[in-house]
Amino acid sequence: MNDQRLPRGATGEAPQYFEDPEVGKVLAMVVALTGEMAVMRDRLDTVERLLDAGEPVTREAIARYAPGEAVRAERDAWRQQFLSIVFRVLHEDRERLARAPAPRYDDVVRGVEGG
Amino acid sequence: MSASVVAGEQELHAVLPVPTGEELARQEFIKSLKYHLSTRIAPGIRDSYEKRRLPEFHAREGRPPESRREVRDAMSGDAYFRMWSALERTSQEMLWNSVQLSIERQLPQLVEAARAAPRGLGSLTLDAAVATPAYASAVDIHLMPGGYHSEVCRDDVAAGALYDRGVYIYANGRMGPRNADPADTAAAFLKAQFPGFAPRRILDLGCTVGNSTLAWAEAFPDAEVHGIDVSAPVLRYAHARAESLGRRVHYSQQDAEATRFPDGHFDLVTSCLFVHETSRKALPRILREARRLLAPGGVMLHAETPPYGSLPPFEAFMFDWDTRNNNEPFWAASHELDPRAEVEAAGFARESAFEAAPLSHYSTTQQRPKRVFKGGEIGGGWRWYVWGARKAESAQ
Repeated sequence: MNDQRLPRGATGEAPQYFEDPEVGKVLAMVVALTGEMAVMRDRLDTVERLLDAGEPVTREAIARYAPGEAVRAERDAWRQQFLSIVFRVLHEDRERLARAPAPRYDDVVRGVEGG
Repeated sequence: MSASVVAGEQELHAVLPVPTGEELARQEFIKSLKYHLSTRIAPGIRDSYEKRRLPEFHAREGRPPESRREVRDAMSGDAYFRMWSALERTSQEMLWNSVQLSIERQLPQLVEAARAAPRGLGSLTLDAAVATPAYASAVDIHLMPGGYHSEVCRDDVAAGALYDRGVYIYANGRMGPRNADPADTAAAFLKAQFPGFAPRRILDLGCTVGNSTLAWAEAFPDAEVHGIDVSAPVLRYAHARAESLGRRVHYSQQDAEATRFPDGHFDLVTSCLFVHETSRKALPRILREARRLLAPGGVMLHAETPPYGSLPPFEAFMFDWDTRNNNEPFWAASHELDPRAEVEAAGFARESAFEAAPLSHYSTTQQRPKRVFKGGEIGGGWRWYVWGARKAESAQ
């Protein structure tokens, strides 16, 4: 194992998206954790596929396993479903936005003219 | 640990940081995350704009926003946009991290592979006296930690490995197995625009790992091809990669503003996704230097992403996201250049200027092109933007 670590952050002032910048850090940790769950799920999927194929399940075999195009497509589909579950609240926001009526232009004009 | 890069994936070569199964899973997650953000989250931004921020703007100003700047002001406090931005930025940070973890495991082997690269085909000439220009060191461009120039060990190639693999994941394979699509597209454009043009020497400016340099070497196999960059770690990587892929390229550490090549040395001076990473101050010098390096009748050609200034204000605002959120400080200004004015100021004839937005070579030659970009589907297919000028046949 190599102990040479690369810098973890890019230089440059980071934009703040939330009133409390710590919220952004928590969000980054939640998404990183989500990613690591997907990594673990792929590993489990590899183990299951090795078992299905009757092959020995060793750490070497798991590390070496190269998913073919069909397997990668299945995993892609699983991740989209998984992300829909994780980001449910945002999908809900989006649905609400899609349902929201667009204001009629005349109403806008009246609003402006009404001062 | 063994390779787990699979068919249809990025092309293998001696210094590619090949992921283990677990590392590949982490990188695949980034692709899935970016895809989800583009297709399932980003579309809501338009709704939020049209149904909330636009009416507010109307009520305040009595008219719709007329520029991307006004849209940006209107959207700056929008919670949905801010959440998407935070996630998009996080995905970018995680992308680099997912490649770094893979590189850290194998860095000594990558450095060794680069050292062992034969010198038989092309060459590598480093010059420690070349300083990193301000535009490359002010911030780490596109959030790549350490930028192109930082080194963590002797004969380091990590920045090259990070860029090569990271760009592939960022593009979701959309730029082909060698990340060569913009240069392939530019080469196809050049051949159509100037039939019979056969450059004897080609110079690729700001070549980094040589994604574009190899494309030019393939487009003109008889030409002597040179690539220059200010950063040593990407050049070491570029050289080892080219040798491994059997391409003859001469890489050297030089500043595109003032190279060591003699006058009129090249028939083609080109760059690929380089202009937007320079600066207002450096670009005119780079263009003047390109003109000096060109032989009479030579062509200067730069490949970029299309300008977005003429798009409706909301679309332009979305394309402009990188300027403020992805450490691309010259993104906006570089997309508002007037090629005619630029080449004229550099000494080319104004009427020799050209610009075009050719369809992506890869997307037109693939069965299932991927056209999804950050803000959603690109209408009508994926295009690049090329611009440049031709030096007069008889030098003045």
